[in-house]
Amino acid sequence: MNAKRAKLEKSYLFFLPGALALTIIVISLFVFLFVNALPAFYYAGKYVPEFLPAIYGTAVVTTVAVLLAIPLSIGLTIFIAELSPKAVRDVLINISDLMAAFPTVVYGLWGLTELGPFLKSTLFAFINRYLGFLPVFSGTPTGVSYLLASMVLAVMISPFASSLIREIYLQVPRSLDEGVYALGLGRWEVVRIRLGFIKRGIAGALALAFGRAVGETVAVAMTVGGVVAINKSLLSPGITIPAYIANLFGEAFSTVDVASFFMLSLILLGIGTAFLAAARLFILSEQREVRTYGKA
Amino acid sequence: MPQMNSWIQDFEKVYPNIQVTYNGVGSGAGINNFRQGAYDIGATDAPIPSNLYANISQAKGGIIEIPDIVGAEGIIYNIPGFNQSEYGPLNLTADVLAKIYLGQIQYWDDPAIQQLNPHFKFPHQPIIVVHRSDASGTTYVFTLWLYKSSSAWRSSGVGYGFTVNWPVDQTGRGLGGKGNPGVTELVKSNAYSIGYVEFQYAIANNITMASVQNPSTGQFLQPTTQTVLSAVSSVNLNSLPSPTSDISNMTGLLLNVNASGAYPIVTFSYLVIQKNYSDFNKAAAIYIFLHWVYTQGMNQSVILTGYLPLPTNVRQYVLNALNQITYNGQPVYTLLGGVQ
Repeated sequence: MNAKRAKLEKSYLFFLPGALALTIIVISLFVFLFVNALPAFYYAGKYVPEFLPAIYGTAVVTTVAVLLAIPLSIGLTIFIAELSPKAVRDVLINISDLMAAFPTVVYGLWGLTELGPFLKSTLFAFINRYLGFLPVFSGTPTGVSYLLASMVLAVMISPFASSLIREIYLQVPRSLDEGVYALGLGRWEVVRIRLGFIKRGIAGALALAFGRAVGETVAVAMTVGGVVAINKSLLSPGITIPAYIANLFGEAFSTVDVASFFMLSLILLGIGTAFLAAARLFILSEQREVRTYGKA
Repeated sequence: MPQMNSWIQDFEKVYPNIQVTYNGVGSGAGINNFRQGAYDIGATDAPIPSNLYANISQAKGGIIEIPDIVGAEGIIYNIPGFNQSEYGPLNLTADVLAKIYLGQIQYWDDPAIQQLNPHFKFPHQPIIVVHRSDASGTTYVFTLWLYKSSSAWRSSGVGYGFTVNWPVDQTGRGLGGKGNPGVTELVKSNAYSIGYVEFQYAIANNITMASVQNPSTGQFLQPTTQTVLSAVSSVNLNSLPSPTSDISNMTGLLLNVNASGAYPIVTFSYLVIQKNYSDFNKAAAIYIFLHWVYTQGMNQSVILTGYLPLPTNVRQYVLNALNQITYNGQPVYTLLGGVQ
């Protein structure tokens, strides 16, 4: 027993430094950003006009991406979990895992050179023509735009969101299905009830996906249009916080400019952290609920 | 800049013991990395702006700024149906370009454009206007040229710089691309668009460029080796500012040269180095490399199409400047025994 404990203590010595180092790095990252951003707080007012387009673009692009990812990820989940034969399912799971691991620059290049020009003359032109009277679809479609960046992002985050949703979905006990069938209802109702049962888990998965999307840099910088302006049309170009930093950071000269980039990073980190925390809460409470139900 | 890569390759064949690495980033990043000490030689398409000069010069304990090559900027466009061999080159003036980038000229069939190109019937299509999204010397030179040439641009208050707030962006018709490749890609993939890129880049990629009016002469000219040469060879370059001082007003020197056949948007690109070094090997390597660039490196056979070598009097001016590179205050030139 004592020997076992000694061994355990030794292993603490072995693993503790890694855990400690990571914790310290994360905390110092926050401190580092905050300290470097301090001068910008002093001058904050001056930079608001520069920042607003980036903050606005981040909010628009990420929100639309998550909205688009909802049907994509839930559809993929249901197809994998309920509809596809075993062989197809394994292939689909592998493909979706692979998609989640693709380097984002690949998505960016694809969006910029293939998807953008294609959508510009098809879908975007169509929407603009028939729904152009709505401010969000007005203007001149330019290919690279808020909407293109959102679509590329949606494609990027859907496999990730889907794998999270799948995990929760499969945790719902099968006894629930039996009850539904016993009431004379069909498969469609089973799916609906199961989805209703895990809706908080889905919200959590999407919040995690949001956290991922909000910080995406390369793919968005290549597809959002690189224009520091607030355009109300989704078919128009704009900028996001990470794209703004990526485009212009190396070019900053005076100390105040550099600080303003750190402040933007801090804002971004804040948004990301908030969503991560929200997702954690949702998913944890969901798992607890499902587990409680399973025990009863 | 592709020329720098080509110089380095040729130089390392002659001096295999000296290793030079080039990193192709925007001018803003080039200057910034130089200031922070990541680069020994900063390359930029426009000299360090006046408001930053003192800061950077002080941080480095004195700097030397020197022109290294002659380049130009071309206007590229994508107008379906407009075929240069049929309708001649697309004619544009500084005022029309300024109003396009200000968002005031919105459609290709605007009378101002139609009037300059009477042989082609322009469609009523909105103009998609492409500029750089990164801080860039190319933007600096282009906006400075607009500032010098167009009263519409001057009165707009946009000014000039490595980045500017493009008024056309507020209309949803402006697009930003990273680097010359980014701008070119956006022009290619958007019908009815227009953009500005380095002349050398357009030549290397075989892109047709517009014919731009030189406001000094009224002539419409496309950038070619000949029209760029006409501009450079007609400027008096005998009294250039001291390379150890703020030379930012040199940017305008080659713009709108008043000479027959001179293309209007011509510019030097520049290198910036520290003046004094505490590491002799580094000081010697920089001296030897730059000395090679301004002697053998200026041979026409080494210069890529789309650039022009410095005129001989400017070369001499730079070689004199290189003699001011010092190791702990002693000229490296004399320490090396005046080699080469």
